This record gives sequence, C-alpha cells and structure tokens, in this order.
Amino acid sequence: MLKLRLSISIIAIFSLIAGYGIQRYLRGPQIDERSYLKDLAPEARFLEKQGNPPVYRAHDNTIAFNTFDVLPQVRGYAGPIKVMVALDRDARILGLRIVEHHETKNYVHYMELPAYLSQFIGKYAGDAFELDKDIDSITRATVSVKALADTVKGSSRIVAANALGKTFPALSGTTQKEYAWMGYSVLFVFALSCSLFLKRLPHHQRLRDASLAAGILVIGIYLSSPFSILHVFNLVLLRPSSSILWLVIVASTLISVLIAGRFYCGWLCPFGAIAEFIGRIPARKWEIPSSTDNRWRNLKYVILALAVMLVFASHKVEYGNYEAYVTLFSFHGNALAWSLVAFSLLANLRIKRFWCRYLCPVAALTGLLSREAKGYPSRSDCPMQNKPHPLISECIRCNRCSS
Amino acid sequence: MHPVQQVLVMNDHAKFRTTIIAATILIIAVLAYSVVQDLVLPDVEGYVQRRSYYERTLSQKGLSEHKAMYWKEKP
Amino acid sequence: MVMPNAIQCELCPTECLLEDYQVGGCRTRINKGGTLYSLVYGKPCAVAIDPIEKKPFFHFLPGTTAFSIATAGCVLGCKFCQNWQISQANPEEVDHQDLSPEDVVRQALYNRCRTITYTYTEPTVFYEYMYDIARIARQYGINNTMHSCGYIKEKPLRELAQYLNAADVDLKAFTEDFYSRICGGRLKPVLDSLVVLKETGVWLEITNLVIPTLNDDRVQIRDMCRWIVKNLGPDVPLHLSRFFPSYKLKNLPPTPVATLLDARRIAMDAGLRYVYIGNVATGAENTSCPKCKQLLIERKGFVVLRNSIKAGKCPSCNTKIAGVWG
Repeated sequence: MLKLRLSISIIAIFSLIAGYGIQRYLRGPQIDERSYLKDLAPEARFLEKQGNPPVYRAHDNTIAFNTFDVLPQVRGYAGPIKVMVALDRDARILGLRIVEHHETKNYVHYMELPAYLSQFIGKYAGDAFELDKDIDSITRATVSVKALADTVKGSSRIVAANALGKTFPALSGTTQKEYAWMGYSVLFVFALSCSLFLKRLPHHQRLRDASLAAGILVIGIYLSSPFSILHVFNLVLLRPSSSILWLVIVASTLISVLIAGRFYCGWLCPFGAIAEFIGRIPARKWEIPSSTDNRWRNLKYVILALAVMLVFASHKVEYGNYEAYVTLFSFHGNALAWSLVAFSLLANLRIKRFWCRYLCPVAALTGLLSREAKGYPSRSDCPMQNKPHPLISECIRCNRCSS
Repeated sequence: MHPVQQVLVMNDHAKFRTTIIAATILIIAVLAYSVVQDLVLPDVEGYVQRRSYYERTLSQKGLSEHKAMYWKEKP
Repeated sequence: MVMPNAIQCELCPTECLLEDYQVGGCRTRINKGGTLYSLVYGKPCAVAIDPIEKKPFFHFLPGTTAFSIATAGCVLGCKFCQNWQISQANPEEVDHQDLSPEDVVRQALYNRCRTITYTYTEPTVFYEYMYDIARIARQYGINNTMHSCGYIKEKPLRELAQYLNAADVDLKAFTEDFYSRICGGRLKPVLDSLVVLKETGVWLEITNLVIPTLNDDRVQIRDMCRWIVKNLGPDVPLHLSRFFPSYKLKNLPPTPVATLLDARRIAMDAGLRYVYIGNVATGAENTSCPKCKQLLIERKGFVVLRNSIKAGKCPSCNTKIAGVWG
C-alpha cells in the first residue's frame, strides 16, 4: 500500500509540475489579467481569482472573468477569443477587453478597439447578442465577431448563474436549487447515523438499502451530483465551485473518507447502489479465484494514475472524465461513454459491484487516503465479495460483519 | 472438485478476465476520445469539409489552377 | 493543432494563413497541398470596352477606349460596394469566360483600344493574370492601367508597377475606423501603396466616394486632401463620387450634391489642382487650366466634347498640364 501511495503521489506531483510547464509553454507569458481589471471597472477592488468557474469578485459583488476560463470551447476563425469581462451584480456588462486571439489581424483588429466593444457595455448577460440585431457585425469578420458575441454571451450567462445566482430564460444546464445542500446534508447525516447504529446491530441491513435508495433518488436523480474524482481534480487545480452544494459534497465525502473509509460507497453512492441492486438479481455469479480478484483490484489505481496524468498535464478536467456515474446522472455523454455505463451496469449480473471493485477512481483515492481499520473480518455474503480482513480500500462499511 | 465444476470455474475465470480487460479498453477509449476530440478532430473536420468542397464543387467549375506568386510556407 | 501544408499568402496586407485546401479571404486563391494557386487566372467574369473616362481617368489619353477586364473576388468587403455581385462572390458562383493573356491583348488590339484596364472588382486578386497580360500588352505598345483599392503589399506592387502606365486608387476615407468597420481592412497600407505608385512614376488619379454620415466630415476631407498634396503632389487628380445606396448600406441617402460641391471646394482650398465630381452633372467634370482658368477639356458624362490641350500645355498661358496626353 505504501509503495502504491508513493508511486501515485509521485506521478501526480510530476504531472502537476509538467502540466504547469506545458501550459506555460503553450500559452506564452501569462496574461496579466489584473491590468485589465482596472480598465473594466476602475472603482472596484477585486479579490484573488477563485471559484468554479474562476472569477474575480469585488466587495460590491462586481464580477470579472476571463471568458476562456468559463467557456473555452467557443472558437473563432483560428482558435478561441479570450475576453476579460466585468459584470455588475445585476449581470450587466460593465466593460470588456479582448486579451488574446489569433484571428486574421487585418480583418478584425477593429474588433479589439473600445469603439467597437462599447456596444456590449450595458447589455445584460441574458440579452440576445445576435449579429446585425443587437450587435454590429464587422464586414469580412463575421466568423470572428460571432465567436466574440457567443463567447461573451455564453460565459456571461454561466458566470451570472454560478457567481451571481442569476439565471436567464433559455439557459441550458441545471437550474438553481438553493436549498439542495441542506437536503444533502440531512441525507448524509441520516446515512452516517444509520451506519453507526448498524455497527451495534448489524442485522438491520434494510436500513442500508433505504439509504442507498435515497442516494439514488436524491443524489443521482434529483441533484445529479454524485461525488466523483472530477471534484478532486478541480480542488487540486484550485478551481473550487462557488456553489454551496459542491462544497458540502466535497467536504463531507473527503472527511468521511479520512474517518470512515468507503462509507460513501456503501451508503450513498447512487451508482454503487444501482450496481448492488442489479447484483442481487438472481443470476449466477462468476466464481473468481481470490488471487485473480486481488490482482485486478489494483486496476483502479492504474486507471486513476492515467487520468491524473492526463488532467494535470493538460489542466483540463474534461480529459479525466470517464466515470460512468457522471455520464449516467448528467445524462450527457458520447456513444463510448454510454457504452461504458451499460457495460459496467450489466457486468453486475455476473460480478458483484463490478465498477466499485475494479474501476472506481474514488475507491482508489479512498485507498490512498484512509487508514487501516480493524474489526471487519468479512463474510461470504459481503456485497464486495471481499476476502477476510480486506484492505481499507475495499470495505464499504455495510457493517454486517462488524463485531 | 468434479471435473465439470473445474471446467466451469476455468471458464468463469476466463470470462472475468475478458470482461475486465474489455472494461479497461473501454475506459482508455473514453479517455483517449476526449483528448482526440479536443485536439485533433476540429482540424480533421475542417480539412475534410474543405477538401470535399473542393473536390465536389470548386474543381468542377472550370476554374484555373495557376501557380500563384507571393506566398511562403508556414513552418 | 495545425495540420501540415499550411502556407501564408503575401499578396495583400491581410496575409491570410491558409490550411490545406483553404481558400483565402479574397476567395480567389487556394492552398492545395502546400502550394498556392490562383483560381481565376484566365477566367474573367467581366469583359467590356469603355471610354477611359469611365475608369475614371481624366488626365490619361482622353477620348480613347479602354479594354476593361475583371475576375470575381476582392480583398476587402466594403459595405457600399457598387460591384458587389461580382466582387463579393465566389469565382465558382459567377459565370466566366476563358481568355488567356494573349487573347486579351489580341482582343484589345483588334478593338483598337490603347489601354487595357484592370478594374470592376479588385485587380489585386487576379494579380498573376494581370501581370502576364501587362507584360504582353507592353510588348505591343498597349498601355496598362488599373483601378484598385490599393490594398496590396509593396513587393508585388513594385513588381507590377514596371508594366503599369496609370493607376486609379480608391482612397475611401481618411480614418482607420472607416476602413476597419466599413471595409474590413486598414488605411495605412493604402496610403503606402499610393506613395509607392508615385515613386515608381505610374500616373496616379484618386477616387473618393463621399458617403453621407460615414466619411463626409469636412475636417476629414480636408486632412485627406492635405495629405495628398503633401505626399503625392497637388497635380494628382481627385475624383469625388456620389454615393448611391447599395449592398449593405441601403439605409443611407444618396450624397447631396451640395456636399460634393463643398467637398470639392475644400479639396481645392487644400491645394489640389484638379478636382472632379463624378456621376452627377455639375460642370465639375471639365478640366480647366489651374493658372489662367481657361477651359481645356469639356466633358459630358464620359464623353469628351472638346480637348484643347496642345503638347500637354495650356494653349493660352503655356502652363504644363499634368497628365499623359499622347
């Protein structure tokens, strides 16, 4: 275990450093964003950039951001157009400056000038931003100007929703559930209490089933935010979200990992719940020799290491997005991703808790972070088919075997 | 163990190995795809669009293909 | 990430970076496998014979005809373009004929045109075609003239200028703002081209389309004329044209004649000796001696009614009149 922790930590740190180096090389000298902030909102004093999406916030709730941090996918003629935008607390544009673009200079240098950009000032994040309607086009530069308008519009909407709590009609994505974090906390506390209760009275396993079912409904379906390694990636890349729900999910799960190992897996994870319930369908389970089983349980660490390298080298959390539950509960993914969902769920007919035992990066993380625990000798009806006295990374604390 | 059982156990082992290797490959494919999608596909798509427009339309219109002056290679 | 075979065009100041099979902003040049090709060489979409006054050239072989030729495409995208149906069109969308450079010269000779004019759209986009025609025309004693927006880089311009006899350049406005917002280009390269043409001895005339609210500011016009006088000389004829709503500027009114007359007044006060007003009958289409004011060339529209210039001089006071008269 120590060797494993060491090697993955080394890989992670190395990737992080390499990542910063690569980003620096690719992007060239850092854009001094702060120097633009003064132009955009001269009165405001901005704090350090933070959040997810990352923004500068001033004391009067003026928000400034680099559109590329928020909406990197919009492309002009030759790559993204990066714009510093400042919004007042009503999500009205105070000012904007283009800080980087690679459009054909001669067609679009006018686009960079305050004279042209001034038409954006005073618009609300929810405005139309349509060319030749509320935005002047520039002849010969239609693609660039549309990209500019889409970048400013899309990122302003996202920032307005996440950092100012203002949503506008026709905004895609999750609607604000302001008290979601409370519901989550209640569920968490309920599950934790039950697990402690079950330590004393292990045969009330139906309580755990209820907790798992609640997990599917609340965390999976209603909130669509299962804990995933992406949360950790964002944390490590210093991009925490400003939504309270996010903070509660990350804090509660990480703390529970440190104290109670894979408690989340056994009581709350919606995907693990579905996996376990499918596994209970009376289909013959394959007999897997203990040695094979043990060996392959290490696979999740290898996959995690791979994802870590990709994400830290590129600084793009998207590159590490492979978890089946992210696809499933956000209902968003390509054919490959959905195949993985189907595959890992179907496998449960023959192999109990297939994803959880061999593939889950959160499980790998738990294995790296948590301490050894005594008192879990395991049984033949272990939901994880664990060997006696399993590793801390394999026990999901159903507590049926706890003495 | 009864020989038949033995055979069954072996098959289970083989099936398990196949399953888990298939899952691994699938995950690697998912990871690789998101990288490729971001870095490679946009350029490839652009090329395919331009090339097909040329082959289908441009080259059929009897336009010239005379070497131009005043240009240079981009490294 | 860039795929291989990318090249950069260096013909006009836009300097398009072209990926494989990408067509330039002018629509007439394409990168095929890492080599740049012209799509319009020998494929004109407009061929006609016009009086040279129409180009407009008032001080270059008056009363003669010009064999005029153009292909589709343009380096700019002016919102007021009068020829936008061909200048803003793709060559594959416009009818064209096959006319080799030799054939062009042959036709010009056959029709007894003393000049071949590269005009209508933007000659820069058919640079190679124009260049080859011009070389052959020069051998046969035919003059080469072009009407261009001047948005071409210095090297190709200098090389072309060896075979050019005259050029009419559009100086559309005197602000970068106008050139950016309304035309999709820049002012400075146009000014640079004007100076280069002057330097290389090409006879120069300038056209300026006066558009209400966009470039009719009196101070702007004055600054522009002062620049012309200072950098090109007071003898460069200036043609002020009347704007008519067209293409993407259909919402503006036609230029009031008073504005044009006023602009002419400003131009002459700035020191320009020959200032004409085109496409409107005002009497400002005639050439008078800058010294003794004697009427030298009387024109009605594009027709020369009377030309009393003798050996390039005013018959009354013997002042040399700038131009190419023989």
